Amino acid sequence: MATAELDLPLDDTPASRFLAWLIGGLVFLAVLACAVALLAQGALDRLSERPRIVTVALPAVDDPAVGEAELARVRAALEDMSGVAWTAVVSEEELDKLIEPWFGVVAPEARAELPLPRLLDVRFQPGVVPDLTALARKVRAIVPNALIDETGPARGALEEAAQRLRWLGGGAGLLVLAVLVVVVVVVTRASLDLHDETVDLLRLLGAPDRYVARQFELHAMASALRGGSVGFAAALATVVGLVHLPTLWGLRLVPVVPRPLDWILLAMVPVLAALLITLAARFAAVHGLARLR
Amino acid sequence: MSTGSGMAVDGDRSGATILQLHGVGMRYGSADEVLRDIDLTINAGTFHYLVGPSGAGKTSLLRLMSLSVAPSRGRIVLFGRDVAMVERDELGRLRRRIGVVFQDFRLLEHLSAFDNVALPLRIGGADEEQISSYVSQMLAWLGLAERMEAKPAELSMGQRQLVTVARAVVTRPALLLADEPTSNVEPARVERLMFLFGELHKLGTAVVLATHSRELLRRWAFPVLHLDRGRLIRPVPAGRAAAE
Repeated sequence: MATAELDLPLDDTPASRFLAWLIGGLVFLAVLACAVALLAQGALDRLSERPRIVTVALPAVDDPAVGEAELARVRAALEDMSGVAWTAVVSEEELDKLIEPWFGVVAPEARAELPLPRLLDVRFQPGVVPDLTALARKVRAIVPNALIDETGPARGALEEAAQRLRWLGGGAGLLVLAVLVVVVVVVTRASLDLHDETVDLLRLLGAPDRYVARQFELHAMASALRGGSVGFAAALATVVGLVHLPTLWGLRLVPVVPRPLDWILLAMVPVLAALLITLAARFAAVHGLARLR
Repeated sequence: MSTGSGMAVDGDRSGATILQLHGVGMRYGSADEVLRDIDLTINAGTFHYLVGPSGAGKTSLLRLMSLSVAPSRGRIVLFGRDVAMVERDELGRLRRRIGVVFQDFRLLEHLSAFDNVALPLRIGGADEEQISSYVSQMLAWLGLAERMEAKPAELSMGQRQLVTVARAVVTRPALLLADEPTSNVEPARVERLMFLFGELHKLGTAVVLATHSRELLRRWAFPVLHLDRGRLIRPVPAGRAAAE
């Protein structure tokens, strides 16, 4: 007999009726934005987990014995540094490949005539960010003209791009949630004005403000659950589609896949949205009702 | 009950004071006052008709008494509280002790007859079992057992009026204000409604019933409050009021 129908016919107005759709669309955008932020964070984490390699170039010396001794001292000093996994001298074959673009294929006897530097790869443990200044100071204490260079020049740019994407995605997600709050406040205030006679009746029957506000809150929450779940499902399908589907055709549009924690965090977005929507509706209704006596 | 003249009238059982109006005036916007210098005391367990020609201010007086509008001057004391001084939440509690039968029904069109009647009980926080029992009994007693799930638009005018009455009395209010509650109801049901109001009155509810019906005044004799051009004139016995 008794129904859980709201006392206020809030589904009867266009603004309220479309609230669920609006929420769905905005939750879709918020989830996508957060997915971008989380994928960017994932990329950053993966980059930071990759061991970093620094190349030390020691200038050529006339006396091979002196060169060998310098190399041994530099290697010993570097291997003493914290975070260094190992050091390796770049082989002559690799050196040949490096100079090939400038000198072509160089015969072994000709190479001896070239003042080629001795190259030393220094590999750091995963997650360690090399302190290039300290490293250079240490090397140059032994070989003053030594050059230090971090291998993979694109890495810095990659990191920077991922960081930007992370902030952009996070910021866009927050912005969409803020828009959601504003939309709910505006719709609630409009509904309150539209249903002023019914609100007046409820208050005449003794309904306190919190009872009337609860009507708006419940309606907003129901719209959030309906619209939010649709928006979330659509966003999830989009993320899965972008990340996994291209691999079926051998493509890789997104270089990282969401981690289990990312899925959990994404699932929190509609929950957070529903919470914000409910609070925003309550806030708008309570403030709107305060104008009435 | 007593008016500004200080006269005691029939039907005054001198119960606790429910409502007092002191020098009350009321106007809509910047128009002339529709009510002037109203002094009135309503005690528990009293029954009064409110009569007067159209435009005399009956509905306005009932709206004032139900705290639907504020007076432009004067003071209203309801259940011992000056309503101008009470907090918002307290105002709700005071209103919950008043039952109002609106002349224009004011039913919620999207709710069934049952849910319309259940509204004040839900607002008061009654549990659903209690609501189901009270509302079903009330509607059945008023002859609407078969129409509980009907929406107001599916009901006749008389049935709507009965639903409005049921909503007003289902909480057994301390003060019942009824604006022409029998105007659309068929004669057989008028008897039943008046019996209901009489029973509430016997249980201690103060009843103020605005009417144009001489039939009511003649058949159920209670004191009459006469409004004329916004002024409350001294009470007259029901028999004489009917004759007038």
